[in-house]
Amino acid sequence: MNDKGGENLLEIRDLYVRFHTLRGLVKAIDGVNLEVKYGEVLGLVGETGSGKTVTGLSILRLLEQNAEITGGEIIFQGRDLLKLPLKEILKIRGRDISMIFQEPKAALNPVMQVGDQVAESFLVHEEISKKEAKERVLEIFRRVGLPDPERVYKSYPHELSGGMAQRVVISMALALKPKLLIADEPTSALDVTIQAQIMDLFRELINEMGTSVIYITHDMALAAEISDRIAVMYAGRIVEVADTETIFENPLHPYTQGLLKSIPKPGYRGKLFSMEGEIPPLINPPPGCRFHPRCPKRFDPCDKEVPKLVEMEPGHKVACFLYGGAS
Amino acid sequence: MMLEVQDLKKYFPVRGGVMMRVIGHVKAVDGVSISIEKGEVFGLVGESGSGKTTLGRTVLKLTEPTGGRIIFDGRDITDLSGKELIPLRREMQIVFQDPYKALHPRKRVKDIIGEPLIIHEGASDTEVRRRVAEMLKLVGLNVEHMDRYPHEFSGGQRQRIVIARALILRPKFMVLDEPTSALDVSVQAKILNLLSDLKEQFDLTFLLISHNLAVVQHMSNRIGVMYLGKLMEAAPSQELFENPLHPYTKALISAIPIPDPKLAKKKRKMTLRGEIPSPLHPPSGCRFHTRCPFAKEICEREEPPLREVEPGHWVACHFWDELREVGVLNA
Ligand SMILES: Nc1ncnc2c1ncn2[C@@H]1O[C@H](COP(=O)(O)OP(=O)(O)OP(=O)(O)O)[C@@H](O)[C@H]1O
Ligand SMILES: Nc1ncnc2c1ncn2[C@@H]1O[C@H](COP(=O)(O)OP(=O)(O)OP(=O)(O)O)[C@@H](O)[C@H]1O
Ligand code: SF4
Ligand code: SF4
Ligand SMILES: [Mg+2]
Ligand SMILES: [Mg+2]
Repeated sequence: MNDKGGENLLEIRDLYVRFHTLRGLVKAIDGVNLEVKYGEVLGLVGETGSGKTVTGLSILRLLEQNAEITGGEIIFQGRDLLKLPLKEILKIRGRDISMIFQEPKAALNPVMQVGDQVAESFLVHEEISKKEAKERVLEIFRRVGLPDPERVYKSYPHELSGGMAQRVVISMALALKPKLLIADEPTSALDVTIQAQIMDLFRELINEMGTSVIYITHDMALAAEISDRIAVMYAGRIVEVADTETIFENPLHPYTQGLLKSIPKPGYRGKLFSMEGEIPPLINPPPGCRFHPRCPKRFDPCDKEVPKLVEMEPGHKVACFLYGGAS
Repeated sequence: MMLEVQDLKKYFPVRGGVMMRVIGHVKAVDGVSISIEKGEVFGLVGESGSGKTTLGRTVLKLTEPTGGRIIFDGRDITDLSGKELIPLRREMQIVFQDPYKALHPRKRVKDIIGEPLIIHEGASDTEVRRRVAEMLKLVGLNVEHMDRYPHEFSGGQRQRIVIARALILRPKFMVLDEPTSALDVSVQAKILNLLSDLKEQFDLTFLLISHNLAVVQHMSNRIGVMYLGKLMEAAPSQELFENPLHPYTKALISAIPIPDPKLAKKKRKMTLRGEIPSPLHPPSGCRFHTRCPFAKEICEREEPPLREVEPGHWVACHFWDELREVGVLNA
C-alpha cells in the first residue's frame, strides 16, 4: 500500500452493459458498483459468464461492436472514462491503465519480434530514442525473470513457451508503471508450477510499483492468495464485496456461501456441496434477485425486486434481502 | 487386480525436414508401471505434456503401446487387435475433458447415448429408448431430453451425456480424462458427486486423470505423479499429500493455491525455477534435475529407479531418504 492507501483510484458506478445479438439482448452487466483503492489488489471472481471480462473491458472501452453501455460512470482519477473522447482513452491505455489476458500469445503480434513490441509502448508514450527503448526493454525482461533477455528480445511469439510469453506480456503491461492493471485470468492457461512462478512475480512487481490491480479469476483459491479484497459476481451483478479473509470466513450472500462450499478441500472426501440449478441465461435473466431460482433461502421479495448492495460491516457489502437490501 | 501396467512405453515419431523423415521420438510414456485394484480410484497428476492422456489411451488400447504389458482383469491384452478388442470395449470406457467436442452436434441425445447398444448388442429402437431413458435418469437428466441436440445443453449437462454414453454398456473400468476441467466449480461439484455415486452403484474402477490436485485428492484412493513420461512417485492419497517424498510432488502440492487465506499464509512454498523441458529432448539422468533445487551431480548422470520405500509408497529420487531426514519436503 502506498501513502494514498484507502482512497479510490477507480470507481464504477451503476454500470449497465448489454449486447445486441441475433437471439436478443444480452443483459450482461446490470448495475455494477465497484471501487478500486490505491495500491490494492481487488479480486473479481465469479463463474463463467458472470461478467468479469466485460467489466474489465468496459473500463478501457475495449468492448466489441455489438456492446452498448446503457448507463453508469467509470471515474478514474476524477474523470469519467465513459465520457472521454477516444483520443484521450488511447493515451490512458498502456500508460495509466493496462490489461493482460489469459492467452498471452493472442496479445502479441505473431510477425514482430517481441522485444520491439515492448519497446513500442515506450516509444508511443515517451520521448526516447530507439536505443534507449531497447535498453529499457532488456532491463525489464531481466526484471521479470526472462532467461537470456537478448535472445528473447529477438524472438517471435511462437518461439516462446506459454510462461515466457506471459512474462513478455507482463513486461509490456507494466513497462510504463501504470496506476491500474487489469489482469484477466493471466495464469489459467499455464501449468501450476509455472502459474506459481508468475504469481510470485506479480506479487513482487505490484508491491514494488504500488500498482492497483483488478485480478479477474474464476478460481477462488487463486483469488485468496493474491487479493486484498474480493468482489463476487453473479449473472452480471456484484453480490458481495469484502476483504479476503472476511469473504472466506464470514461469507454472507447465499451464492458466495454455496460457491465456497462447492470447492473440494484437502482432507475432506465426502459429498461436495452442490448448488441447485445452473447459471441463468442473460437474455432472459430471472427477475428480482438473479440468484433466486437457485437460492435455498429465497423468500417473498426475492423474485420481485433487485436487492441493493448494503454495507453490513465496514467494508463488507452484500446484495441480498436477508440483510436489508431493499431500496 | 483390475489393471496392471508393466513398464509401459508409448513413443510418437517426430518427422521433419523436406522428406518428412522420422527425426526423433517423443517418449510420451516411458516405462510406467502401475496397478489398480478393483473398486479403486487411481489418480494420475502431472503438468501438461507429462503423458497422462497418452497413458490413459494406451491402457485402453486406443493406441498401440511401443513396449510393456497391459493386464486387464487377469488377461494380457497387450497384443490384442482388431476384432479381438471389441468385447473389451464393453468393459472399458473413457470420458474426455471437453464435453463440447465429445458430442456429435447433429445427433440426438438418444442416438449419442444409445449408439454403443446398437453396435455391441444390435438393440432394437424400443430397447434403446428404454435403456437410454434409464441412463438419463441415473445421470440426473430428464427423459424428455432424449430427442434434443447437444447444443441445447449447458457444459455440465453435456458432461452428463458423455458419462451416460460411457456407462450404457455397464463397463467395469473407466478412464476419466480431466472430466471436470472445462466446468465451473459449482458444476464440477455436481459431476464429481455423480461419478462417486455411479462408482458405488456399478462397482466401477476409475483411472482419474487431472492436473487439478484438489480434485484428484478428493476422489482418489491412490495417486501417481508423472513428469515427462515417467512416474516420479505413487502413494495412497493422504500419504502423498502429508508425506511427499519426491521434490516434484512437493513442488506441485505447494503450487496449488489453497482456498483459505489463513492457511495460505502458513504454507511453506517451494517455487520451481525454469520451464518444463521439451519432451523431445528430456534431460538426462533424473528428468527433473534441471528444475530440482536438490539436484546433485549424480542426478544428471543416473536415472533414479522407482522404488517402494514404504509399503505402497513408491518414489524415484536418489536422495529421497536424505531429503526426508532433513525435513525439507514437510508440509
Ligand atoms: N460480444 C458479445 N456478444 C454477446 N454476448 C456477449 C459478448 N461478450 C460477452 N457476452 C456475454 O456477456 C456475459 C458476460 O461475459 P463475460 O465474458 O464478461 O463473462 P466472464 O465472467 O468473464 O466469464 P468467463 O469466466 O467465462 O471468462 C456472458 O453471458 C457472455 O456470453
Ligand atoms: N499423437 C501424437 N503424436 C505425437 N506426439 C504426441 C501425440 N499425442 C501426444 N503427443 C505428445 O506426447 C506428450 C504427452 O502428451 P499427453 O497428451 O499424453 O500429455 P498430458 O499429460 O495428457 O498433458 P495435458 O495435461 O496437456 O493433457 C506430449 O509431448 C505430446 O505432445
Ligand atoms: S435476495 Fe433472496 S434470493 Fe437473492 S440471495 Fe438473498 S435470499 Fe437468496
Ligand atoms: S534424483 Fe536428484 S534431481 Fe531427481 S528429484 Fe531426486 S534430488 Fe532431484
Ligand atoms: Mg472472462
Ligand atoms: Mg491430457
